[in-house]
Amino acid sequence: MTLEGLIKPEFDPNLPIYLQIMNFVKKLIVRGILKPGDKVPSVRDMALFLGVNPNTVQKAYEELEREGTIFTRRGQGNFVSEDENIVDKIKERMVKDLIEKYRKELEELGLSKGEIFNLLKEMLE
Amino acid sequence: MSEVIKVSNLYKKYGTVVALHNVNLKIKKGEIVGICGPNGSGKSTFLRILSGIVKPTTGYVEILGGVAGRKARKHIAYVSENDIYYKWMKIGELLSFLRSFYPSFDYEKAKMLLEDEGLDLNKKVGELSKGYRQRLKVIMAISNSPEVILLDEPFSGIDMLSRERILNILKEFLIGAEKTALISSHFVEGIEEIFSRVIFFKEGNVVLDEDCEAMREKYGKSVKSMYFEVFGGLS
Repeated sequence: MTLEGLIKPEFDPNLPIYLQIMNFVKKLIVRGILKPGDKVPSVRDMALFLGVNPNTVQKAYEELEREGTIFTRRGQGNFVSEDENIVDKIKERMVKDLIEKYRKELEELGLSKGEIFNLLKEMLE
Repeated sequence: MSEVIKVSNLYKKYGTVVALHNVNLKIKKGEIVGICGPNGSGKSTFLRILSGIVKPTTGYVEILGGVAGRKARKHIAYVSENDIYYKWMKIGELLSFLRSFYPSFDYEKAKMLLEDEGLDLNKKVGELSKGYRQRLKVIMAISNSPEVILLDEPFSGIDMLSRERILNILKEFLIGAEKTALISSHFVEGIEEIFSRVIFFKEGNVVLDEDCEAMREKYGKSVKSMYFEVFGGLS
């Protein structure tokens, strides 16, 4: 894949940037820009595209490898897992995290589960 | 990774004014270090000593395996905050001058970078705005392919576009090439993502020295928020 033409994400400098890079790569997988088995952009290319320190990209790739999203082929670089379910797995995880985040915030505003459910239903109809 | 800079018990006095108290640190190859602190905190003095232009009162600096000074200078680029080129010189003349002076100067690369920035070789240095003079200095410095680049306030007092362009030139040069950089700045917004490490100077002392990602992870703070915490005295 090529990074050309993609929109550069804005990073929150208060949070570890490697976590935000991990999310960026996962979104590329969910959107189908990176497919199972595809080569992931090199550390250097990714760092140049994102404008971040290469060590930070390296750390993000190491963590992605640790959780099984990507793997390394010696001397060839990093590749997206060949597991066909990888997209669904990542998507499910990301969607759950998002919903959990907003549920927490809504509960902090004092909304009950029932109220959240009804509001959501109303909005989506 | 190997160490490229080793500073031990560095102390510098100008007359009766102490500029640096007792600085000890090591910098490894490939690190991109932000040197932050208010005016008069010792940042510039520190970079000048590393460049070999200024001698420490006491203490020791080892850079690329040698003592800071003439010999090491070949592989070190120092970009001063001040104007260093003759105002009457045309950019093209400056280019030829640097080529004849430094055997390692990459003339073609410099020319290409100058063209990218729209810097006309027939223009005189004195005709350029501060932002363009700053771009010129940075381009000339990296065209000598230094191993270590020391930049003193490269973004100070210039327009936003020049700042963005200089950042891009530096990123292209630093990323992937494992070059070591020390960049002093009294603001960090938009720059901190490229730093691997930050060192805060306050009244001639190092008051903070952290890996940027470790700082975000440990304290949930950006370099900018940390700066306010250390120097702001607010809240």
